[in-house]
Amino acid sequence: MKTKLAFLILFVFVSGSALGKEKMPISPHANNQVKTGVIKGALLKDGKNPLPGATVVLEIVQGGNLILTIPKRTDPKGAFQFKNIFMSPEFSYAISSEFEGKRYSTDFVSLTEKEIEKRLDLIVGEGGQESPPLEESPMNKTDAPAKKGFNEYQLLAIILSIGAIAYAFLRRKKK
Amino acid sequence: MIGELALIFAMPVAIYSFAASLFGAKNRSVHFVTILVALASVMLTFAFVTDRFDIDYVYQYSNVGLPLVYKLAGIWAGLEGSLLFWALLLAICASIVSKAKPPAIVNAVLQAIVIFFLVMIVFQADPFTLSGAHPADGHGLNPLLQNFYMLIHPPAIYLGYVIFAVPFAYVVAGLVSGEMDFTKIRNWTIVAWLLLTFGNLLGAMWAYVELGWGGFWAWDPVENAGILPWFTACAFLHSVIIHESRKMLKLWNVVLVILSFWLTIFGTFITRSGIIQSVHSFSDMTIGLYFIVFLSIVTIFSVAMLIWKRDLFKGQKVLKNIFSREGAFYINNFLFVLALVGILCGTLLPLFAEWFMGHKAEVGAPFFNRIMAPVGIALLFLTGIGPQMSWVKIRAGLFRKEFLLPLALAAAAACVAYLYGIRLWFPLCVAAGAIFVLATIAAEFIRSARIEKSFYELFRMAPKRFGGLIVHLGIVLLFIGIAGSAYKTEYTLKMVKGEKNAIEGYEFIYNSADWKDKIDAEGVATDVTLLKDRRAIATLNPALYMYKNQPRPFGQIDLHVGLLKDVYLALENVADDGSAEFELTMNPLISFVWLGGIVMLLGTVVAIFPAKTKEDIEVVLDERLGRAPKEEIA
Repeated sequence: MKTKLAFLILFVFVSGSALGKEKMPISPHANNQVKTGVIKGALLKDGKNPLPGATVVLEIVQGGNLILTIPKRTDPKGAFQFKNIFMSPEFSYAISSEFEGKRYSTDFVSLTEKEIEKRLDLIVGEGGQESPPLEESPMNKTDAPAKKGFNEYQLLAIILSIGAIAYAFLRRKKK
Repeated sequence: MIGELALIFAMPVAIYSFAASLFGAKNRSVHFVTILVALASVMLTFAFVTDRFDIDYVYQYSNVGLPLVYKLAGIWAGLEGSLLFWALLLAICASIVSKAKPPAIVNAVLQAIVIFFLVMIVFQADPFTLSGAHPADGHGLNPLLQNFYMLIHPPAIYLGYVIFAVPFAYVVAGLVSGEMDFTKIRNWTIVAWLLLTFGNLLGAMWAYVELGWGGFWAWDPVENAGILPWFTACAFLHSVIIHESRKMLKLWNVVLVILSFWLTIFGTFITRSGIIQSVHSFSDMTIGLYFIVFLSIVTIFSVAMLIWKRDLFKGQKVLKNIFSREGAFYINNFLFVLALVGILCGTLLPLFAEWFMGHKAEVGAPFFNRIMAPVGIALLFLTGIGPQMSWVKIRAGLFRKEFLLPLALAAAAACVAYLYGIRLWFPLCVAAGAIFVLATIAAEFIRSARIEKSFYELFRMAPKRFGGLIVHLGIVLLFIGIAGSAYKTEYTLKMVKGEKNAIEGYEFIYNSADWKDKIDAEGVATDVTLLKDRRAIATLNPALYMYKNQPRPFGQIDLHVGLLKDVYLALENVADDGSAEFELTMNPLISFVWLGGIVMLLGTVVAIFPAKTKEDIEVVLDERLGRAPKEEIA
């Protein structure tokens, strides 16, 4: 029995290893070269004064879902730059930032092959575009879905736990 | 199914083991808990290896193309698996501890912690939850985590965290029984400290080679979480020496052990709840409430126990003279606690700012550097001062005999550094402090070796003392590495194929950019020849790769490691005409960080070994070196 079990485990691990080496196609835009551009801009208070050392967030949306956020601090001139932005209509990008408890963001843009660099200045405060936070895609959500009651496994665990305490108590009594 | 059932049964069995221990039975069912949790862990690994993408956790952190080695490490890739891994390590730890037949309360405490993790797993973070779909492929592991260091960094950190539960359990048992076994508490703490040092070192190495910004420590909340219990453990490992020798600081030592354990749970909370946004935000769901409840229970229980058993701490000796060895330990502990409070405040500020002011506020690396630089310098000098001091009082001729020459050498080192062009206060102080400590360590070894026969004999006779000195040597090397980072320089290189660039005595020739296929990614890798004195010394291949399901390319840096300077090259972009943009970082002395870490680990391993004889050679050495009259030690 032990030999069979060992053989089974070995077989599964070897199979897994073999599967692991299978070449998988990468996403369609990965054809011949990494075509990427740059999004740069400045964070401006009331449309005029640059805000150095503040946090701006690059929001990346794919298929209508927010899939990634990348925070960055502005430089001493209030400027920021995000490199490695895909030149693909599949992804859209916006810059957001929080200022005095409110959230401001730019419109979403995509980079095309003709446009290697895009400037997105973000105005916060007066003249800025306030917007509610985006919903993250289910894959990146940080909260577990709300559960209604316990499932059968959890109920079993609760019953067994109560039994365990009672058993420990009884064994102590007998002793 | 088998894994889930194993977890469902593990919880009540752990509860039984806990309750039985409370009722006085020793180690009942402790191995059974371990077997069940181990079974669940094996089943989860099995699910990774067999690509069970219908299991949500496997879907999230694996795909068909993921190399086998990362599938085997999949258990700690996300929140649910990490909690299971915590429970597994702790259950194994409880089994090992049970071999020494400790008081029943030790197992009760360890099983209580196992239960906490199992409750979270069973009710909130089940790694075996089925998604209801049968996808052909998974989402895949974050490429940043597909790194050799990530295979061993999390287990080392988790092991360090988990083992801190054992001294905590012994402290609780000591409070209940009234007899505190500081030998066991110290031994387990030093093992936990060793693993935490190892884990943090690996984490720093990972950040250096993977994140591409040329540094190794960014004061990220998760990095801070790993170092907080390290500081309290450092403080304890020093202050416990005073208790062993002078019967002082018993309460303080107990508080430090409790705090170290509390901080490990707090660290796991920060790492896994995603409460403070950081580059480590790989967590998947908020389970903060569970942690807050557990941390509250530990706090209330510990404070209540300390108040209830306050008589245990009466009649302790008090500090008579700050210019004594115990005085040096007091200052050492004060500095460690100062560092701890500073890091804790900086880490939690974004959270409190959001709660009280409604928006996030971050302090950033400059805040931590401002606090840690003076504390670090004070600790560095104290590393050289403390071991030379006498117990109880200052002795005649101390300055002349022990410190005059090291201080003269330190002043000379600072002058040489100044003449060499170093003007920043921190590197200048490190230059002086490093030479000062090295001189005191060398003097200590030479004098002690004159009394005993050889260095080897010294290590055999007094491993704690001389292992500790080796750790101090590692600290010096670490400080030299950190000071070097103040002179890090960064350049942006835009080069066309065949172009040559000369920077800081090195030459770079950009040869080519080629498309590369890896098992689970494809991208562009460049070929850059690095020359020094017109001689090729390395070929660097920084690259950009695209991974399946990832929205941006991931950089892969390449570096040339040198003892005095690292050349660190990251690829930023490759244009249509083949020209490339690189970020070049020159990192002086960074090898000393890794060297210092390794020496610290070696010193700790030496300190763990039991002494050859039962005779307290340390007391004998102190007496012969004229540091402690025998009647005052007794």
